[in-house]
Amino acid sequence: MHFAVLTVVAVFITCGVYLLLDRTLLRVIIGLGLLSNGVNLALLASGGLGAGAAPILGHGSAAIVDPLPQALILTAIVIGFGVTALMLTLAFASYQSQLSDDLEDLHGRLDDE
Amino acid sequence: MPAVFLAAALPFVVSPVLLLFRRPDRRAGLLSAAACAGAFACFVSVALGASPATVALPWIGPLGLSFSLHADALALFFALLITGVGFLVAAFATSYLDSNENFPRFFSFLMLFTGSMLGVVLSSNLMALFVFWEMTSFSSFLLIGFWHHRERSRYGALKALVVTGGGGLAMLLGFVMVGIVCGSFEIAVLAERGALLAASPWATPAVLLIIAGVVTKSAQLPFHLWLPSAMEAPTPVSAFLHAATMVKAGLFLVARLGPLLSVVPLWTPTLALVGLLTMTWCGWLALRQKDLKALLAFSTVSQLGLILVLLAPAEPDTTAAGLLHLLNHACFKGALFLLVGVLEHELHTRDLSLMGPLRRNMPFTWLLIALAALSMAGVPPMGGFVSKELFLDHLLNGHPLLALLAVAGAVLTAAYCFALAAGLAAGRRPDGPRGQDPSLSLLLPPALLVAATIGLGFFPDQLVGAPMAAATLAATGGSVTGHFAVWHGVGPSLLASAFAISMGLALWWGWWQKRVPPAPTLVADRVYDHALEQLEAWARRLTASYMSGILWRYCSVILLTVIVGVAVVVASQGFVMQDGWSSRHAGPWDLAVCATAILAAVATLKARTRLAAILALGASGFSLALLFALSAAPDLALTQIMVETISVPLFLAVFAFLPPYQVDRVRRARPLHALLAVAAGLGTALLLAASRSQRVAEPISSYFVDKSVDAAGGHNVVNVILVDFRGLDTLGEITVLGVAAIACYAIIKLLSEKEAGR
Amino acid sequence: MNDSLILATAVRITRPVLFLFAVVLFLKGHNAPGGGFIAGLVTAVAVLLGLLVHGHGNRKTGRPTFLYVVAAGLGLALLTALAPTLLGWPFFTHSFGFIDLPLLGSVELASAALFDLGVYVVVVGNVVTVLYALTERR
Repeated sequence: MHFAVLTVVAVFITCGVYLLLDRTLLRVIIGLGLLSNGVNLALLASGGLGAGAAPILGHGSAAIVDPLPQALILTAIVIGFGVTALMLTLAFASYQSQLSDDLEDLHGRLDDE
Repeated sequence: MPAVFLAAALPFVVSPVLLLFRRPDRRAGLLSAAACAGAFACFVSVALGASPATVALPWIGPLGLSFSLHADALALFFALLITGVGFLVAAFATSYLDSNENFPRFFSFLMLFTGSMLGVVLSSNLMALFVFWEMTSFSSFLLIGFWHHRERSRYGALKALVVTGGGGLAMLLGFVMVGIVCGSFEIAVLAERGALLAASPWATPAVLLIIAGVVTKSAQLPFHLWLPSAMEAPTPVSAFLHAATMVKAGLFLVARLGPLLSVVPLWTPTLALVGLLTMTWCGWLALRQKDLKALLAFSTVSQLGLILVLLAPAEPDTTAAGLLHLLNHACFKGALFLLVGVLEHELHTRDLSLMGPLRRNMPFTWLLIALAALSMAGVPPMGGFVSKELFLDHLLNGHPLLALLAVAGAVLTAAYCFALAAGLAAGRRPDGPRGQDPSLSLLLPPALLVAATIGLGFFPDQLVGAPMAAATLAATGGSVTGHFAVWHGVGPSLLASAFAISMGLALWWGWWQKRVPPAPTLVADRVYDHALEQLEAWARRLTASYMSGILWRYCSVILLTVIVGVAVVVASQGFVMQDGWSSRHAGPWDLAVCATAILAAVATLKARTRLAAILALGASGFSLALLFALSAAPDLALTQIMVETISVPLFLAVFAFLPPYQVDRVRRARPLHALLAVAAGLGTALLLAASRSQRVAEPISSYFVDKSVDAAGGHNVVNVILVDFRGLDTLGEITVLGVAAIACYAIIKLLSEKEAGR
Repeated sequence: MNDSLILATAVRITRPVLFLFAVVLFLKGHNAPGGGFIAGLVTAVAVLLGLLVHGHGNRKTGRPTFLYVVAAGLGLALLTALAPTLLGWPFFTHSFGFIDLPLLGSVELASAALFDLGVYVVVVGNVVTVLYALTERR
């Protein structure tokens, strides 16, 4: 199992970083989403991918999986949503005011002020 | 609560309260004056021994720092001076400021300064002293820039902050050196460890750095440039900060640390020479000013030099003389500033060459100015005479060249004092602006200060002899041998005084009267302006060289740094990948979901349309949710599904506004990006694989699992961690969500307002 | 957006179910999968569905209504965390107990649930603010 999951992590992060370095704004945002998905999965894997029940106590004495990464990931997912929403808003606003989604058109320099 | 602590805290408590007043409310000034009076009363009770002089509060224990106040006689002398002058200035400013000024802000800043200044003199610890020291610089910045709509005010405020703040930082470095060498930051402990300092190679740099703090704060050569620019402040501020108190913080430090630092041979001669040169040179500059406030500013710098000469040797007799002149100066210079403020208020000019005959128009104002100026000139029987005699006495016993400089300084001082008093009496323009003596509320505070300096002339020993002796004992550990008196008999110093006064009179009558020389521009000013300009240009160039404004460059640099950093660590530590994994066997469902996730991720790269790219991202998210579900994480699966359900429509809502999707605007290979991406992805996976075999401690999760039901009453451990064990983290996270919501709302709102306005 | 009868009907049925589901997820959250975050997101999905069908309707745009919701949630969470300090306990001390109610049996009352309610409210406020901000038609 761990080999399959690690492969998914590697592919998610590779694709995410590649998109993050793009010059089209939407692709950057998609890249960021992919990257955070990959990191969330990496966190889960760091807790081990052993056999076990969900971390709900009181259902017999079966071993349960590590709950801590799950708590971390849960908030990370929601924060990731907040980040995505903010990025989308910025993309929307910058397109509305600059009429471009090309980051190399949008860049501002210190001298331009 | 001890009175010392109460008095020191009072201004800090009053400062924010004042901001609650409405703008044109003069009661803000009355409250400030009351706070100063209250603090003054507390210090009097301490001085009379009715209240303990020391308060200690623990501050940063591990660093050996405590926050303690210690009101010995020296500190009390300064504290009484600060609160006493503060009371008069606050009372004066209450009726002086125009009714449309922002009273709450002005007095709030003034109280902030008062508290900081009290902190400087009362701190018994070098680090606490430094903090308050910088706070006085900061509050001085706020007060100089009080009329922030004026360009000159902003310039002066910045200059004062740069010079005194910079000097303060140098001083901090010196303090740290002294503290490390002597093993303590407590001033009382340090005083006994002078031998340790003297033996250390760090002594010279430390002393030089502390001297930098002293000369910048007290505006000595070559840092005298900031004080004339600081005259853009409202006049009560000039009287309080830039004549009576803040500029004397440097002198206070010399008196306080003198016994410790004078073991280093450099300390006394450097300070004495700087003081003497400043006194003479700035006396010369003062003589050439037409602007009354500029004249007073240079004269202040010059007088501070005089006091510095007296305090530098850290010997009882000179220290007592220095403290007496410091008190005299606070009285006559504070009064002069307030009276010049009155002139400006009545005549709307401060130009000496434009004044009408003041003796006829404003007799009381003129009389007070003349008396204060005579005291500054050292004419008997004023207070200034007593302390200047002691100064000349001290210098005449020294090197002849130094004595000559001192006498020259005294001559110049007398000359500009006569120019001030007599120049205003007749006025240069008989048809100049006319005014009337102001109300009593404006005349009383300077009149009290003038009365004090006259009293110090007639009864110096009776009035302040005992407190000065006590302060000197506290500062130097030695007793004063002589006592203050207006008449010492005929001696060299009296002859020097007579010579200085008559030469000053001659200089004023024979030269100044005929031709008012032009006000020179300071060399130091030009250096400062040029240096600041160069620094800004350099900073701009430097920033522009790496702030390209192009996102992928920033990201590449960040990624490259992380990848190289991790690679270096891995290369040096070795990479062990033992089988630390107890992962369950992957079933067909697992493999299918993983394959889907990989396909979806690759599809985001390859998508030709925006819709396809968004759907591919959604697909990767949903397959991740399935993976969570298969890995016994139902909470995560639910959350992920919900987030994807909301995100995909959000993306679609925004994408309607964006231009056609372009996969590669310029068809070019991006091998660097691909390399970085692969390194990041592969590196993460490898580190993750290795991390399982690198456990050095038992995971904390087992604690959470054990305690979940008993301590938190919940069976869903994930939820219990979120809301109970790690509740503070969650609070932070929902705060982030709140901020994100505000940001989204604000951006859209601004955008629609801009469009509506278009 | 509001021309699909099938969608409108489906949403009319789905929305109450989703709201109910959110309530159940929230109440069960301490002992079963669920909790403030998830329940908040489910509620937001229900709001989104309404938005898909009905659009903004005649709701006045540009009002920061849901920012107040966010503020209320944050305030509730913060107060829950601060309340124990008034009793001299450390910041963030939670307590819980059980009471017997007719029909429902033993019911757990936990201060952590109040904190979770704050989380729920913030999540709903955040998502709805973003949804309204980005889907507004000018």
